[in-house]
Formats: sequence, structure tokens, C-alpha cells
Amino acid sequence: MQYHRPDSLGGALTLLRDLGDSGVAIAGGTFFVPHRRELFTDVEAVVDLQGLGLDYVTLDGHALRIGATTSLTSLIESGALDGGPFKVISETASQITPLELRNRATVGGDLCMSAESDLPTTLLALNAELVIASDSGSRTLPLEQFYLGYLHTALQAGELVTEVRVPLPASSAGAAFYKFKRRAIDLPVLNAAAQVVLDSDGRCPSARIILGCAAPTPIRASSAEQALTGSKCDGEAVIRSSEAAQDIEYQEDLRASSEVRRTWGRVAVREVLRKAIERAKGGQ
Amino acid sequence: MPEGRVEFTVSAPIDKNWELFQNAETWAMCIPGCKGVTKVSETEWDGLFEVRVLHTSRTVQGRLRAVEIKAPSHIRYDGKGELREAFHRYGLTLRADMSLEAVSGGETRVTFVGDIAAKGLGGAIINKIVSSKMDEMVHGFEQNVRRILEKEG
Repeated sequence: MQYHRPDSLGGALTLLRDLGDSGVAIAGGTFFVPHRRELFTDVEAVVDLQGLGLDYVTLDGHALRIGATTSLTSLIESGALDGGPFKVISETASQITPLELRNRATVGGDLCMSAESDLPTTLLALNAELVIASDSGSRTLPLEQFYLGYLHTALQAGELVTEVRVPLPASSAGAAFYKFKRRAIDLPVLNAAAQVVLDSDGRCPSARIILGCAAPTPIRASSAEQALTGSKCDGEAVIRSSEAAQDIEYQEDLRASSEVRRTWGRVAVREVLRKAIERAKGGQ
Repeated sequence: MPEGRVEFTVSAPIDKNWELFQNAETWAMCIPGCKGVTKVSETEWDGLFEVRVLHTSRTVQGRLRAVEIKAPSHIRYDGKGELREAFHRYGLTLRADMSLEAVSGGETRVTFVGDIAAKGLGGAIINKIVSSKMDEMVHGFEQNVRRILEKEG
């Protein structure tokens, strides 16, 4: 197997274009290495993205910008997330275990290769978008439009995710994350994240509630959002919204039955809403 | 069970459509990734398919049997197959159901429903992959059917 480590984005894109289906981009390699013999049998060359300078976390006034090759540990330790509206991102990444995985896994890799992870759920709740580069320029795509199916994204051949942008939420917004897993080291059986905006009367003009691992890709719990939107955000509204989260067609696989996921979906939505509302009331 | 469904109108009369769909040697070749179909008996066919997942190919072998035939408007095939990976083999159940309806101007309305389901706990992952490919597969099927029937017409 060939190994390439380009030092510019242009160089990486040219390599990937020339290699076609026989080349794959990697950074931390935490998905590629364990799945190499199952899902990457045609790969003859890897293009290591770690020399491209995409390891950064910056706050530019309107949005949080996270470079694609930022490791989860760097993300957690970044001062840009401390105590502000984005601390839910750091809290989410902290729950991805073990530590060795956080040290290697990157934000871009986690979003591109592992829809059944935790970060996509939280970043969807925060309405993040991706910057995607190719030989012909770059485009931005809402993360909501990125996941087309299990192991299937909107990324075209020769394209790379270079950055994640998370818009600065309203000052009256709060966000939270919650997950169920069997053991500390396991992938989540189900997770949830929510961002809730409150008005001066304590009502909710808008909410985004996302469930991860409920389906092959992270999904919006639309009925739960509708049950909360326009309501006064009290305990009753939270229960009503979490009950509405049960109407989703939950998937069944080797990690849990659909019935278990349905029950946990209700609990997870209840927990994230309680915490997100509490944070919104306290200005995060 | 991952199911794909597509409805489309073909500019070809119903008898031409029936000719295609009653013979798996012709219609199964319209499924994207189909590498070959062999007739086993008057109502049975063996097929070989290749499916791309990320940077690898999976091979599916299956036997289809025509179980409901109502000429010239409906035919259903059931079958069993096997998906081969480097280290695992998964048993599959297969189904293809075609309904045809003559519409004005010598055209035919085609409804195609197909599903492929892997058995067992590990099969749940295969089912997720198949689900994510189903839309692409049935729309590729539609284009290939049009290419054959409308070219002939």
C-alpha cells in the first residue's frame, strides 16, 4: 500500500483525483484501520491529511470554525468551547471513549465515516454546516443534507470535508447532549442532542431535537420539536415532547431492539430538553 | 426488510413490457450491478450481482423463482441468496414484484417493488447498507428498462 502525506490542500485534492477509487483520505485512521479488510479492499494508496494545517478551532464572531483534522482531544482542550454556547460540543466529544480514540480520531473523520457516533448528533442540533473542497473549488453544505444513508454521504469522488462551521446561537438558547451505551467503550445504542431557544415569556419559538442511532443516520425528532415549539417550556411540555419522540420508526440491530430504542429515545429527549431549557434560562 | 419501490410510465405497449418482465434473464440485467443471469428451469433463474460499499465490492448470488404469474399485468419472483464477504456469508431473502397497466397512447405504467433482507443479527448491518442503496438501485433499474423498451419501440 502506498502512503502519501501532502503538505497542501491542492496537493491532496490532486492526489485523490488521480488515485480515484484506489485512494482514500485518512487522518486519524480510526475507522480505516479496523475496517480495512472489510470496506477498503480496493484501496491501494492512503492520503494522510495531517500535513494540511486543518487542525484548528476558532471563534470568529459569527461562527465556530473547526478544522477537519482537529482531533477530539484538541477539540475538548480548545479554549474556544469553554463555558460558552458551544460547550455541549466539548461535552459530547468527552463521552467518546477511550482516551486513545479521542487522541487519534478527528472531527472530519468522525462526521464522514461514522454516522452512528456522537458528534454528528450534537452538530446537527447546533445546525452546523460543512465546507467541502474539490479540484473545482469549495462548497458549503448543511450537515442535515450530508447523510444519505448508512455509510453513504453526499461527499462526491474527489471531495474532502475541510471545515465544520457552527453558527453562533441566540443568547437565549441552550443545548445539551445525552447518550445510552452498554459499556464505556461501546458505540452508542442511542443518543440525543437538542438546542432550545426561549423568548422572554419562557416560550420556545424554535427547537432542534436530534436522535442518533435511532435510524441508520441521525434524524430530527420532528414530532418532538413540534410538541415543544410555541409552548411554555415547563415540565409538562418536556414530557409531551419526549412522548412525541416515540412515533419514530426506530431501527433494530445487534446493539438493541426497536422497542428498547423507543423507550430510550423518550428518556433521552426528556433529559436533553430538561438540561437545554435550564441552560437557556441561565444564558447557557 | 429494506424495500425499494418505483413507479414509471414507459413508451411501449404492455405486451412488450410483459415480454421483458416474464423473463428474469432480461429484466434482472436491468438491475444495476447485475453481472449475469442463467435460466435453470421454466420458472427459475440464477443471478450474480455486485454491490459497491465504500471502497469494496460485495458479491450476491441468488436463485429467483416466478411464484405468481398473471399475464400480462402482474408477476412476482421470490428467491434466496447469499452475500459473500471476506470472512462472512449472509443468507438473503429476495423478492421482486412487477405490476403493469396499459395507459393511453400505447404506454404502460410499471410499478416495481423489490426487497432484499439479510438474516440474523449481523444481517442488520447488511440491511442498513442495502436500504441506503435501494433508491439508487430502483432508479437505475427504471433507466435501464426505459433504455431497452423505448429503444425497441
